[in-house]
Amino acid sequence: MGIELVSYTEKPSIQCFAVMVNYSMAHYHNDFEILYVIKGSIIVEYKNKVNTLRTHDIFIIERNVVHAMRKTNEDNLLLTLQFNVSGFSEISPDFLRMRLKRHLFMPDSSIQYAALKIFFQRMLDNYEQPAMIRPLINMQLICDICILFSEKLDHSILSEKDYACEERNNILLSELLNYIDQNYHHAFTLGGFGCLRGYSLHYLSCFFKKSMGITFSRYLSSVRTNRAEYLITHTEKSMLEISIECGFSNISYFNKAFYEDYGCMPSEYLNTSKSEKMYLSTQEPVSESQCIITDIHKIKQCLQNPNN
Amino acid sequence: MIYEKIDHENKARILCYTVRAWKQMPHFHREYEIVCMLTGEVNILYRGRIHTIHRNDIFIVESNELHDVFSNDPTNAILVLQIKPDFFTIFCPILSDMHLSRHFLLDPEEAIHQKLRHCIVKIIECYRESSPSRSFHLIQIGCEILILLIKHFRLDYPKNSQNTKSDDLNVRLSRMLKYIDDHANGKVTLQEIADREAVSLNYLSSFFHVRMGMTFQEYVTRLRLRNAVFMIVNTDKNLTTISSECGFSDPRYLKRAFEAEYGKSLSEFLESRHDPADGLPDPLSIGSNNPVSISADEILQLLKSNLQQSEKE
Repeated sequence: MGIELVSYTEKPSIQCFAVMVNYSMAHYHNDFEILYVIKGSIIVEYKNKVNTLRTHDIFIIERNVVHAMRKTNEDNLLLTLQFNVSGFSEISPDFLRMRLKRHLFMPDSSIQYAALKIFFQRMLDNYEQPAMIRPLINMQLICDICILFSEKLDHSILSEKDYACEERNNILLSELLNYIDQNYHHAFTLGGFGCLRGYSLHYLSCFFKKSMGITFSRYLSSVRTNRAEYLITHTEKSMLEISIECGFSNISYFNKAFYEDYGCMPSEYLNTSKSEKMYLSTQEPVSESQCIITDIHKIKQCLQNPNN
Repeated sequence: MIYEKIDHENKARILCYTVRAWKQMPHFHREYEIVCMLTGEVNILYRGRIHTIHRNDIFIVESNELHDVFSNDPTNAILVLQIKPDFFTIFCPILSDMHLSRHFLLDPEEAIHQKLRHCIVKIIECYRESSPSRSFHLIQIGCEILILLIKHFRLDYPKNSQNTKSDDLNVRLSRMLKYIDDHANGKVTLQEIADREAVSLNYLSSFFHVRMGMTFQEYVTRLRLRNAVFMIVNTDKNLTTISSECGFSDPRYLKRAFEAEYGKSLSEFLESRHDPADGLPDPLSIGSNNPVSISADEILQLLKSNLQQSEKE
């Protein structure tokens, strides 16, 4: 759990799901994500900037950019359009080096907002198309999104050199995150990884803060509470067992860290609302935790009827 | 300006060019091909039959289907659209084994005909605009064309039917053509190939005839002639050298083959070469794609004639 590093696949794909976010720790992946707030509001930390998204706002998360989300004082429901363009590296190398200047789009009469919103509607329509042509229609949608990005949205193009540097940093970061993921349950330090790979502690700690937007120890604590959240909701283990299994040195640290991320004590957590992910089609993977199938028509109504 | 053959490894995997059909060799390739007649008429050899298509007609070639396009009409111009399947089959696997119910669209008023032409118009406009996101536009339109083909013409074959068999046969045929190509400058007999393929001479002879629309010997002669004409036009070698390098045992055979193919003697041709009075394309281009000078505007105009305006979906 924890990091959702989407593997580098050569197969372009796009999917849509509704999600209720409680807390989503800092992570990044190879997919683009476009968020649409159906209900409530949500805080998105992106590129060291905190954005509060309100109902009907649209937010674009670029590939390989670290982001974190947390709930506000009201409940939320997000519609997420997630797609990857890794197979496009040959087709349009410039596209991978493109960086958007603006990520938050509020409801207004601009063509950008209208176009972004239509993508969600089209994606939902696509689920109702015959399975045989669906991959092609989905590809058309991905292309249209890419076209909008490169023709209608403000952006800059990274130089080859900067891009290569960014790619190198991404590899180092993903190795580091993997290492954390495998070792969080016992006491370990950033220095340990540094020794292993020949980096100084100082370099790594600056690198981590710069890349992830949070300090290493803060992140480590998030990984641990995230794992704890999973164990609380999926097992019958006692809080003490969970706190040990997740690498907390004592239970009061556990309580404190959990409170920071989830806004309640671990023991109260089961009674509060949780993050939920709802796939919009029975064909989507059902392996995801707390996955329920929801009614496409209802979501569509929300999109078409802003006041609903 | 002309639509040059655009490099295949170009990003979009979608290729659009105009050619003037003259004499070609039967061939097949993995790309889907949509041939749209702009002017004049051409003959098409497809599945053992010869069809004549005229202005505005559309002909669709399936992946790996043998075809030959040839014409005596010096005014013909065809627009060829090739879609390389690789990129699309990665995410849409049914394309790798798709067979169509129709290959000739002869009614320009038919809805599917209009839609395909509309897509081609968009592709040409897209090439002309050269926007940085052109690759995405091209894939977009490529998907649209494939969706049209799937919706209108896709045949539902049960798996394990003759498809796999016909794929195997295509592999055999391409192996044969490759062998002939490699050995055409020397002695090449059907018996050798039959031995290599471990099948009987009779079987292979009729297999070749059925698939290629011509006998083995006719094919070999045409291939040698094509190579010879290429050398005559492009090198200073004398006829004896050329004929022996191309696999003709005697220059007389070369001359005879030339006359049979082009309807006039080789010496007449050599004299009239620099005189384009007869309007025929230089046989230099036999077998290769022969670009025609048609401006993009002209092409668009030809394609758009009797294309209904209400095509905006």
